[in-house]
Amino acid sequence: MSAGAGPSIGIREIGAFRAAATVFVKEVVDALRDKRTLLLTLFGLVISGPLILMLLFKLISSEVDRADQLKLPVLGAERAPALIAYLERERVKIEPPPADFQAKIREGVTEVVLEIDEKFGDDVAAGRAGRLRLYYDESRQRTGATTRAVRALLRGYAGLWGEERLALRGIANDVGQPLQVDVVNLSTPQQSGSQTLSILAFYAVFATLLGGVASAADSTAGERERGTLQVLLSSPVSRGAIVFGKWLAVAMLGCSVLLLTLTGFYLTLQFGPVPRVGIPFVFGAREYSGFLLILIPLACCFAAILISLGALARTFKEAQTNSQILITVVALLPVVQMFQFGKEPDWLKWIPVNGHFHLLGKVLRGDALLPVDWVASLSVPAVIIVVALLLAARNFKSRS
Amino acid sequence: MIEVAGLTRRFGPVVALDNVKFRAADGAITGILGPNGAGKTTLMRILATLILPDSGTASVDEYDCVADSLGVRQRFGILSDAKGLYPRLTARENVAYFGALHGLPRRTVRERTGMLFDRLDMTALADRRTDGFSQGEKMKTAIARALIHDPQNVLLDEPTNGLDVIATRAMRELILDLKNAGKCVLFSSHIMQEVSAVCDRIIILNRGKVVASGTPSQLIAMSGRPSLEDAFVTLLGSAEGLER
Repeated sequence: MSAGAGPSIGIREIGAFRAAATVFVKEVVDALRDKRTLLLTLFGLVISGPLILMLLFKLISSEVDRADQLKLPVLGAERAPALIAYLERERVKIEPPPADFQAKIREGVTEVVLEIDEKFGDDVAAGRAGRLRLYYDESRQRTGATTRAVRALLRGYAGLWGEERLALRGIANDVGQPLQVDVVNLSTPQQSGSQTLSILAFYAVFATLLGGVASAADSTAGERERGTLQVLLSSPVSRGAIVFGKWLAVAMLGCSVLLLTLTGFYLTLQFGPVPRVGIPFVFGAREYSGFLLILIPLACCFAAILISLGALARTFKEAQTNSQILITVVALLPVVQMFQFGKEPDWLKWIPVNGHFHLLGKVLRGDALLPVDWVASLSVPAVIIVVALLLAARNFKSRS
Repeated sequence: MIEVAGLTRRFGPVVALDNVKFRAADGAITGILGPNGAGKTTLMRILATLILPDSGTASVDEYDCVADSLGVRQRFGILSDAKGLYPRLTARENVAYFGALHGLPRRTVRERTGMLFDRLDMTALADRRTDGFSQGEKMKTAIARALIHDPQNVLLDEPTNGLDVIATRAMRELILDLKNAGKCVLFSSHIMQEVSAVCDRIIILNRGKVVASGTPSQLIAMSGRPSLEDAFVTLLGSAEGLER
């Protein structure tokens, strides 16, 4: 032991900033050594996001392929050779239907079967409408696209046939078709793609949140549970500085997970098997940086709330249960948006999570973000951060 | 130097400390002896500025525990009843963290840590994570942590708990070293032998009150009994006091 009274070994009054920085570094090192949590986060969020995106793309591609190569089992194809010829011209592959095709449709093995009525030829010869029957199973989602395609083809054939008949009688086409509907789609191709990509927004928000849950609980309630809190609080550092340092660490971890998740999406969309369906799925540098700028304030806000919830808890487990509250709210808020029909109300952008979803949607659609959008996405989280950290500093004390 | 006067603290209906008054001088080891529930831990916590007293004053080197808690914490090295460590940090990192929080320059932290681990015979374990440490190894790490900033005042709450005979002896030597270096050591224990082996002055606490204080020989004289243990029992008022 060194002799002499008083702080003789170069003790300096530690400033709040340096204290917070010391706490920050320690918490980051501590969290990075928690390999199990780290791996879970990595696999749970960073890898599963792009994986889901790939599956989605595979689904879209296979739908497109199926629509391209339509196979149609026809019962009684010989009864309407002109119709069959028309369908084959439209690149439909005509097949004989399987035995007991109704059961096969119900099982989902066969999607749709066309039956040509036995009296089709007679009916048509007598000037009556020829009857066709289309079998499908409404409850099977995947058959929807095929059924729609077949019905459109049949309507097209009926239209052509009708036109020929009118022409034979010297009547103009317009008589039989008093309505002409031209469909004008005002969405840009990017906007169509954004519908599919909105899953990215959901994933990114969750990555932002879940990236910090474990470290927030560990650095607050874990500290209390292990019995290190008393020691920490008896060091000459203010509670505010300690809480601030811990918040910075949790926020940084949340942001890192966000960064990795977005990078995963970016790489998937740049180099992954993006389906060629005429719709661009745009997630380039602009979308990447837009997502980051919008979600970093949210990550910091989540971190503050998690720290605040953790400071209230006595054990790590209790802190995790507390954070479930936040996770549930964050999961439910976008659902409200999904049930929102028509235009989203203007005030929605001021609600955290909802507002951020709204902005992420705008980024994906390629819309410009207005200054008021930025004010909304920054100011509300900032207020929440201040309040949550003050509460955390108040509650972060040793209790027996 | 630690001075306490009129210190009172209640937890609901329980009076944990009742008008406690004592003085612990520099260059001396002051023992707080008392059965479980006597108020030792509450006293330690007030001194560590973790809780506030209801009334009375406590000061460390003339820094008030309530008004200037940061100053008090700078002058204290505390080994409290909570001896938790960060399991994912090494022993050295655990100690260095608190050195940094005390505002020590990095070089000083390195030197002090090396010196303390050497003194505690912990050098071989210094760079292992504290995860699998034994009770004694954890205790030694916690002691190094409490002394990293070479505090003038040292608060030791049951420091020999969980230590084997050899480690206990080493701990005693360490405490005596602190005394010889002119430090003010406050040592709380419910184990009589521990207290009598090292303490210059003993304060006996029971049910939140100071029931006696003085040097070991003064206490023996006061009680009129042949040994310190008998004196302790007599001064507590009943043998039951020891077992509670």
